[in-house]
Amino acid sequence: MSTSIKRRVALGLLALGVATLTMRPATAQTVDEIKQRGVVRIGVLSELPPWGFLDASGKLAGYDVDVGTLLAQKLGVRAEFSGMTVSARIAQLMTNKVDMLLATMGMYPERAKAVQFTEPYAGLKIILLANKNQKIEKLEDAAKLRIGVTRGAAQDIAITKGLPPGSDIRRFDDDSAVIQALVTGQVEAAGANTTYIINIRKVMPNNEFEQKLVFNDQWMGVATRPGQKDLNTWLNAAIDELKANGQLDAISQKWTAQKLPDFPTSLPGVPYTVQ
Amino acid sequence: MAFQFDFDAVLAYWPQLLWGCMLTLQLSLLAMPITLGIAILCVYVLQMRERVSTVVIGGFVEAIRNTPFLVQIFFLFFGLPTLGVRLDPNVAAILALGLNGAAYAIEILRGGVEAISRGQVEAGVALGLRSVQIFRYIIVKPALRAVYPAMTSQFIFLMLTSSIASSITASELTHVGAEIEAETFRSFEVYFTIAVLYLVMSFGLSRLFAIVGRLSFSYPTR
Amino acid sequence: MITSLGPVQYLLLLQGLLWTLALSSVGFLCGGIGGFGIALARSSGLRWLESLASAFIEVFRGTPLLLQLFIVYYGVGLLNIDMSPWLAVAVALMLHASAFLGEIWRGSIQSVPLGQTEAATALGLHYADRMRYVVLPQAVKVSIPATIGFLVQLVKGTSLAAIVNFTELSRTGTLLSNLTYRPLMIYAIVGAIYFVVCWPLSWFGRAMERRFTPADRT
Repeated sequence: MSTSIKRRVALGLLALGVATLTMRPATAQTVDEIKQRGVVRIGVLSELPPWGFLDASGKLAGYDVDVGTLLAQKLGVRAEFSGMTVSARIAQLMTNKVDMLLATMGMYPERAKAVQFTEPYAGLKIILLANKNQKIEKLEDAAKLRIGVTRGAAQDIAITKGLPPGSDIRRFDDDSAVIQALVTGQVEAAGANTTYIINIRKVMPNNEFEQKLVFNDQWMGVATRPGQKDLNTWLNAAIDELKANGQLDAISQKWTAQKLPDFPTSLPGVPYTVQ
Repeated sequence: MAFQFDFDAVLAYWPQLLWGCMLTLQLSLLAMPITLGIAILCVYVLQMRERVSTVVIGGFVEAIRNTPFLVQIFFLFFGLPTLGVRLDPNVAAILALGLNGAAYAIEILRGGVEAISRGQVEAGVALGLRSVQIFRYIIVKPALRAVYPAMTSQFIFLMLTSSIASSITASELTHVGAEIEAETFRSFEVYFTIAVLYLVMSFGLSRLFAIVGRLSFSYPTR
Repeated sequence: MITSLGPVQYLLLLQGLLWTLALSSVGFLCGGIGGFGIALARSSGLRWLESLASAFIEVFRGTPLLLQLFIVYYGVGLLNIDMSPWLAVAVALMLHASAFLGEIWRGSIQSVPLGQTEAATALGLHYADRMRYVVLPQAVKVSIPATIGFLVQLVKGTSLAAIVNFTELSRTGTLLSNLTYRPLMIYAIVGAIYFVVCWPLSWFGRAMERRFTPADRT
């Protein structure tokens, strides 16, 4: 009995292994290829108002979607938006499901090793959210709480680094699960960004959550697969144009009720162009 | 970082992966007694053939069997707190797995119980055994022996189903895998490795159950 | 953001349901074709073919469907194949269904008494005719309850597409839950919709089982 099981396992693994060997190398993508194709596939978040979310009629909308639409117009092609979760963003880009990400992606050095960022087109703050009654003045005060974060998000990185190992950090698949966990009391604090609280306020006007700590300013850039110099150069130029003609500022006012922040001209460890 | 497979990056996490396997086994082994306990209790109640309890149990079984586990576990984890009941992810997972398994176990066990011939039960009554004793020695034990393959197969399925608990951050292998993926960005390699680990655990459990079965049920029946 | 369910939200749920049904149908039909091949391979009598099919079945029955989904979903992109997310999920479900249906149908084929096959061979029928006129009709009857049972499992299995971010019924539920912040109600409704789809199937499977069993008591 055991030898036939062993044989089956071996055969099964062999079959899978053979299948995985049949791979072809990635092809670089240029702006012309996208123009020829007639459509640009853009990954956006599907559950983070006001950046990327489904509006009441079920269509993707938000800051990132508006910027993506403008970029597609400049390219002269149709924009095809793909809603995704924070933890799936990079995987979706790397496995070629989308051409670029406008997915509220914070520009951090670890990520810059995996993807290529352009210069920033948006900014927000990464914060810790908790109930008004919780006394949290520094991160260590939160060490005893159940904290929810979106796996792989900037707040995950910040909180994991800042708290001692063994802290009760719950990493959910996506932002909606974290918000759900916070609102239902499954977690007592949540790593979030400044727009979370706006959204919670809209639905629960009498909510008792407030911003407790600010971890850092986060800047968001368009992410593409590494090595795509042509696309990256084009995107940087396009973002400069959108800043210059005020369209980016209009989007910022529309979705965050604030004018466009001053973006840093460089970020340590995060190149804006292909090296 | 082009499209090449890099299993080394994932295999470097082998302590976490091993720990993840332990966690999954722990979760499943804690859910199994719940499943078995509820199943035995419900089958006992069913054989009393009372109208109300039969309908309630039947309703429970049908509800669980015709809705996805993901929805069941979301209901317990995100829905119950609005009623004031907050369950920890692992507790919610064990409860959800236990209930889910029970719905199937009840049907399996019931089949085994109904196959016990009336003659056996009548003999028990004639020997002066109490109702509970009859149920325990004449009905349940032989039934469990008869349905043991189907039941253990269900338990292994339960272990595989536990992977869904990763979405409520329960401590188990798939969740560990997701965290490794978040650090290495190697989705395919991580999940392939994890799948192999589940395969190994399935075979391991199946061998374990075979041994347990041989030890528990090798008393003569004739 | 809205706080109660209106027609738009119900429309979203309906859309999610349609995607769930589409995934289930494609998975079942294509998986059925694959499963048929696997079942024949498993009962072919050719050692190497039987082992290969057996390994395939063991792999898909011994790993969680969620991981099968992940592997196909991320693997497909890695191999640079241009496949939409929908198709990737459908392929994973197809493979999963092939393995399970293959095993169910193999069992049914092998449950047809050997005497039938022997008699057919003695009458000079070739493999194809033997299968088509003698073995398969009897095997199909036996397999119906288990096959329908698996179809229900498949419909429920499509809920896992939510975890790879595909907007079928379960994921629509999560999105609505966050738009309304009423998870208990939303998941109860989503569960009820699945129930309405699955329960008639389950019931039908049981009815078929009852109908065929007495007839076989010869």
